[in-house]
Amino acid sequence: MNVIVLGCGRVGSELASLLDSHEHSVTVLDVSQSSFMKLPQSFKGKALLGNGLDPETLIKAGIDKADAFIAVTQNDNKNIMAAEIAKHIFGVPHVLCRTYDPNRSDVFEASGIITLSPTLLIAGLFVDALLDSVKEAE
Amino acid sequence: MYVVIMGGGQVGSNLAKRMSEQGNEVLILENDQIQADLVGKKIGDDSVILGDACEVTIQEKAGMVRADIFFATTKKDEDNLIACQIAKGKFNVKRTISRVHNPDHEEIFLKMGVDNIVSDVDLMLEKIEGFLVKTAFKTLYVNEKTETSLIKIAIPSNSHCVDQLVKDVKLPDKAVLVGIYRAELPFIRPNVETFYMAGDQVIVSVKNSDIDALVDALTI
Repeated sequence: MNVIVLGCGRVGSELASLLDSHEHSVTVLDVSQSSFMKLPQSFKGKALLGNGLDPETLIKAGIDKADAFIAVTQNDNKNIMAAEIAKHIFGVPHVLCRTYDPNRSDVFEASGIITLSPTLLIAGLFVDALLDSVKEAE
Repeated sequence: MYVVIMGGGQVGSNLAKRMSEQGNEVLILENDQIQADLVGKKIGDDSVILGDACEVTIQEKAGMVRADIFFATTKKDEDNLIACQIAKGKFNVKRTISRVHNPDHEEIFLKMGVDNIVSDVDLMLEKIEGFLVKTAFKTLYVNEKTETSLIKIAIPSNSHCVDQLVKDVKLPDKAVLVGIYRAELPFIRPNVETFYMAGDQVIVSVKNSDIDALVDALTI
């Protein structure tokens, strides 16, 4: 698959190298050149400097031929808007984004974007771990 | 009408002032404490809530279910778009109107259901182009052999030539200022003391290839 990853932070760089190691063709986009230093030496994909909300940058990143677009910048609104541009302007088949705020996810999922909220995931994991720990102590 | 405005900057606060003068109930949602205090002084503290309009809970607090219009006026396109979508998707606000900063984003705003958009750049360019509209000139006579025309041009009031000495305004090479019709006065034959005035009808002989340059020289 051709995959574009927006945001080369901890999650973005990890995600990009994971997909890359699974032999997918990956392009990572970020507004900061230094963020690309998080990518491993072995990374075979492309790292492109630019704003993911800018259609021209997205075209440079090859969004016309992308099978998937994943937005994982630090900013919920940027992620959602970039995902919407990918889905509704460029017609990318698989579009996913991270939103820290789970309350607003449903509004955007209605338009065919898959949103993942680490907030809910982590809170759930903490509860599970706590209950496990209590159970073990008993 | 109940009007909720995201952003208490220049656009948001002036819009709020105008909407409330027109008898509407107005509320501003402003993210920044200092800006919120400032706009509170302008339109009344009761009309401002400190908070992020992209948060569902803040929109709830603002009573968005009964809002007739939601305006998004910040400089960040992503914030404006998401706030409008929440207003519509969660609270069924009838009408969302958003400022759009990047003209390339107009399409996605409309596709995602924002009812009206106001593009900063488009508006400004339109206005600027309005200033630069080419003044109409009239060709009085064309000499085919010398490729020269006799042209009549009106001096607009915002032209840099206004109040300038005729001799100080550089015209294209070989252009000859024949004279000026000014209001009721007899035809003016220019001399070293002649000024251009707004509304002057200027008669110039000029090479055909220099007509555009002549119009620019007299009207910009």
